[in-house]
Amino acid sequence: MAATGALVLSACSGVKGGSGPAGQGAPAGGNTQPAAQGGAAGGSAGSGSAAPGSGASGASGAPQFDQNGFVVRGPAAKKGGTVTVLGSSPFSHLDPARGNDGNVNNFYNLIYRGLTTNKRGPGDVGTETVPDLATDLGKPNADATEWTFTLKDGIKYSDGTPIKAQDFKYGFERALDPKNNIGNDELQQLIVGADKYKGAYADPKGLDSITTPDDKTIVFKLNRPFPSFFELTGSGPLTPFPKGKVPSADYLDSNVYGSGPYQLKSNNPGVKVELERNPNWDPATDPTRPAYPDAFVFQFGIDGSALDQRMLAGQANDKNVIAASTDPLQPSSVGQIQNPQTRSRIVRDLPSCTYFMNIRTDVKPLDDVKVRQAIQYAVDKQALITAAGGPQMALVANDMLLPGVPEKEDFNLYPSENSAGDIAKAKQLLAEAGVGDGFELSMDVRGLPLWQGFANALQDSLGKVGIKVKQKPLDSSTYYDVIQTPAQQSPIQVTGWCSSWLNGYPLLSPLFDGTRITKTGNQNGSMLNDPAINKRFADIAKLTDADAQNAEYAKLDKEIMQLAPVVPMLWLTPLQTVGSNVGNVFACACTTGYIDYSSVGLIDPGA
Amino acid sequence: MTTPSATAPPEPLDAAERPRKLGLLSLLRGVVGSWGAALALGYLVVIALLAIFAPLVTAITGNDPYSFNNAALDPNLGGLPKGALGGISAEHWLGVEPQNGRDIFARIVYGARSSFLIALSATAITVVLGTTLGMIAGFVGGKVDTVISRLMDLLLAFPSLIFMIALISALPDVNRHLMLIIVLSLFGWPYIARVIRGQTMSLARREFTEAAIASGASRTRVVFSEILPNLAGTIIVLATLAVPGYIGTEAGLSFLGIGLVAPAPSWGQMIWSAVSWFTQDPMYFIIPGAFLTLTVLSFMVVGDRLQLLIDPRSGGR
Repeated sequence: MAATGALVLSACSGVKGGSGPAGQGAPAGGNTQPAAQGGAAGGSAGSGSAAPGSGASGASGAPQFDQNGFVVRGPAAKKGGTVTVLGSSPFSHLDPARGNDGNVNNFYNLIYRGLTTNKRGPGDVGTETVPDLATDLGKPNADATEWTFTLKDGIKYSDGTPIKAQDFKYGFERALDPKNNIGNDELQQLIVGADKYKGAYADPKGLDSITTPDDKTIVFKLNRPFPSFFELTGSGPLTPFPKGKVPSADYLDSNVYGSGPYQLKSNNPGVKVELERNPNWDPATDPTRPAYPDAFVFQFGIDGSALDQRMLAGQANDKNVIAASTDPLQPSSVGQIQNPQTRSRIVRDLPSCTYFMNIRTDVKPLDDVKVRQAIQYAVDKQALITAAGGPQMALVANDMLLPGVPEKEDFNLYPSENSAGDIAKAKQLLAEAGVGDGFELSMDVRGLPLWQGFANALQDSLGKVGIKVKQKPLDSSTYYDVIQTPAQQSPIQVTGWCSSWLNGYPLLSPLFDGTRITKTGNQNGSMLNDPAINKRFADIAKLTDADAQNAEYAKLDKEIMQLAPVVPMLWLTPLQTVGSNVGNVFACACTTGYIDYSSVGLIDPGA
Repeated sequence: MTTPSATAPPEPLDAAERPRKLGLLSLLRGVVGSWGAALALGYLVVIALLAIFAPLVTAITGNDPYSFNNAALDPNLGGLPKGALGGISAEHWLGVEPQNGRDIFARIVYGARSSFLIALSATAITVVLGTTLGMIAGFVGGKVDTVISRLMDLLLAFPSLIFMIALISALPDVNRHLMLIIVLSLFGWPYIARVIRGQTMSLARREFTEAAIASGASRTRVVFSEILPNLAGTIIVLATLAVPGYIGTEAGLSFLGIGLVAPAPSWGQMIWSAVSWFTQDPMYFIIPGAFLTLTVLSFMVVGDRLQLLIDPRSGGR
């Protein structure tokens, strides 16, 4: 299961992600972990800790480290043994149609396979899409509105049933049942008729836009040209399931019927999930998953601080353990990782979420672009980085495209020394706008420690240029309901946007296309409705060449930042710890920037 | 979570012994007479002065409780304060908070303001409410007593902590200072009223009260000039012992994230933020913890001493 597609809500700190409200209501659990970040993705981690020249695609060879001493790729692993993953919050859903956060997508990849998936490897390697159950990346028609995929031979489910083309059609139709339709919704917006379809249980006739001429061939009809369709065909809702094996919409949330290298051995919801090898998985059909360990154990409900202490202590019986992607180190533990030995067990994840501050362009005096630009200069991003746990755990962001997005340009329209803010410049712009004496603003604040830290830092920064910020605290679970309702939303607030699909469309369009503003569930938090920008979005969507599209999105990114509707703050790079005997670990863009579960193994399974 | 505990109420005095009239000055002299109580009182006076003159005191170091100070932190250690003991220095007397560099001394002093404001307001309200309703119930008796007593029983039996959590989560936008005072008072007054009611009942049957009634004094006059003065000692003790309870409860609610909201300084919130830092920066935990403990302890010591002075038979040394 490739974690392609815009991602939703993180399991933990709860950055709202993806394009669309799906997953927002998912009981992600563990909303109290401060630094834990959910949906992450990435490309090469921007400046600072990039994984240079990590082209080595084989798992062999000596471990590689970055200039800070963090692991780029751990020592080689061997077959056998059991890897244990420790986390605070359980998986949101076992059903791949339902779950859509970074941690659970990473887990699905062990038990489910899709048409396509991502290559496994550090750095840019993980952004590349490769065939999984299909023989190639699909064949589009001339305008990329119709895509044909052919299945490999010898592919089977865990009970030995062969996988057929019809199973993908049924699996997707099943995923559109209202009960299941809470996961990744990218495909639903693309495939003709999928947005209106009520699911396989209510409407067994199925979708006409997906056809299966024979057992090996499947054809998708899209409602618009989409040159990068193969990047989405590995997503959860397109997981194949044979008709008759999934008796109800809820069945797969407590049972597993997969085709990946592992199958479910036991499931104690909220406590423990155990996986064992799937005897019917044929490695010859699966070049991306090395599947080193014989078994995986996932344990949940461990307190974040206790987990950090356990991982850092690295006792003998914890040598085969990984901290789950929902539980990176907390900032308070960073002081304990100064020796190289400990660092050699820590992976710096790739960023997949941009944290930023909305500035409502429809509220006085923020409707004046000079005032918004003044705010850009006023914000001390170093203070924000420290609030996030320091430069090892976050990178300064100056624009809205994640590091690793193809054709992305690095630029900063509002520079200041050491990114610590330029008070003089900000004051000058405020004076030019006629509000040199300052003004008051209220700010929505999410009730999570990390977010409160951001709010305090922003309040301090803006106070220095005479903008008096009044914090309006909101409960973490209702935060998005409020800030996505323009009638209730304050003039400024911090929010986050995640995408594992490194593309300008999911990263920019929901946030800045004025034609997508809605009364509720509104993602355009700055209320930017600029005719020129709207036209640009419409024009770029019509392009049929993926590279040209990416280049245009990169330009648009800059055009949007000139209007200053948001202050990009930072990209989190969580630190994930592994035990001393766990090998082949690397932060993978394929799993939204986290350590790829399907690649890890034990260095010495006998130890 | 502590709710003001009604310690053993001073027993009604027997007829033979007229209540001792104790002036404020003689009470003060009595408190200072014990070195423990004197120390406690001294500490409370210092904290109270710091709280009252918070802006002046923090002006000495030039740190307000909200300003960030990145220079005092080491970003490479996750924002740990630079220097020993949580960054204690001439500029920051009690160090700085990790990750944001706010001055802990300023936050302690302003936090004392919030704590004292809330605890003293809640105490004032509960004392007025508790005394009035307690006296009415005890003096009037009958149906009025039944109604008030059942209401007190209801409030005492109510799971107040759960109610507070629910109420404050349901009303996130309200002024939290005000909300805390109201909630603490609502659940606090029965503890005082219960004791006052018992005392009033016994005082109402005493010779001097009967004499006043026999000589034609009105009910109001009896209550205010005969009974109330005799309750003064009890009220002072109850009030002194209620304050630490409220301070503790406010800190507890803030610790749970439903008390004062960031960035308002609050001891409970500081302790909560410090929990994850206890291995790396123990001073961040120790300082607000020590202030809270000493404040609650001091009020208790002073309260006990007052109780002993006002009613020597209540089991003191």
